[in-house]
Amino acid sequence: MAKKRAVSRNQSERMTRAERIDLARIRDMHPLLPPDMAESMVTQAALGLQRNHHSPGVELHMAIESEPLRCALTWPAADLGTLEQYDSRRITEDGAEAIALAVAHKTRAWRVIRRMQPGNYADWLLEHRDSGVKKLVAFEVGGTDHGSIEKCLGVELAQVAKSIDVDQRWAGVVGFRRPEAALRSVEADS
Amino acid sequence: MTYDALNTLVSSAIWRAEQLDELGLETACSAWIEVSKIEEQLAKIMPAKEAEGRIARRGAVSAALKAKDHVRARALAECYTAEKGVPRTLLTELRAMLKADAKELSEEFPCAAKRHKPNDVRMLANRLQESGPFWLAA
Repeated sequence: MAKKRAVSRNQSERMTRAERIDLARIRDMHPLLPPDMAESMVTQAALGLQRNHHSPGVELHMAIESEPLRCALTWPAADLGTLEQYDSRRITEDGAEAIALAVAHKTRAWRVIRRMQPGNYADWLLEHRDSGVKKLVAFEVGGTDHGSIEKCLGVELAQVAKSIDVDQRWAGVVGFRRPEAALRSVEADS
Repeated sequence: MTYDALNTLVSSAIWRAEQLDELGLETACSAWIEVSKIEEQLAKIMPAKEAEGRIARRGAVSAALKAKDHVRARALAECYTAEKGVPRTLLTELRAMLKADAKELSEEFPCAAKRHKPNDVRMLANRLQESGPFWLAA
């Protein structure tokens, strides 16, 4: 019985290692993300997570088109002593972008093409390879420190639904308290 | 410069301009001009029939408008609408962007808008910019 439990724990650890999202590797996931921007976003994500009392390796609860998934989330630890030097809202927003982009790559293999200008109803233009064919994804991201991610997701989906010139329109929302991340397409929501 | 490199540059430039805009700093205008110029380079690489080409063309015009460089915005829009095989949707969008900008100007200066059309004012401003203030005295 004890042996069986040990095997099960080993399997679980293997799975955790395989199913890990490491924010330190965000530029491996999205090579076109500018290095300074990536570094800043990851620092803000670290601060957002740590101020909610999470440490690297925390379990991230994900919902991709409502399908529940879990994985370990790791990041280079940030110095909470510097928290006052940052804008609290930007910690949530930019931090959410880092986590949502990492989740989008991990679960859908999407990569950043470019950031979109305000007024385009999406924060990012991502690329999705479907049998070698390049498809464009408009990706709108939101973050919340305390509120419901479901409510936030509705707002972001309504935004991205207006974007044009893309094959798919998706919203991603990150909740720092649990922590959790939800990705949903406009098509699945309608 | 490659298409990928320009995409990285435009992401970085948009991010900087957004931050300066949020802080209400005047330097935001020059940051948006930088965005407009990179979008213009992207538009040169990507034809308007491609979605990314249309995104770049809209981006070049809208960033110029954000920078309050109306002359540049209008010139870019005219250049893109004169392209061969430009999709009708893009034509409509570019015209709508300029129209929305003109409406904004009229709302900002309601008394002036009663006497002058936004396009006439812009043309006058453009001539002043090109010929200098002594053009008025000539």
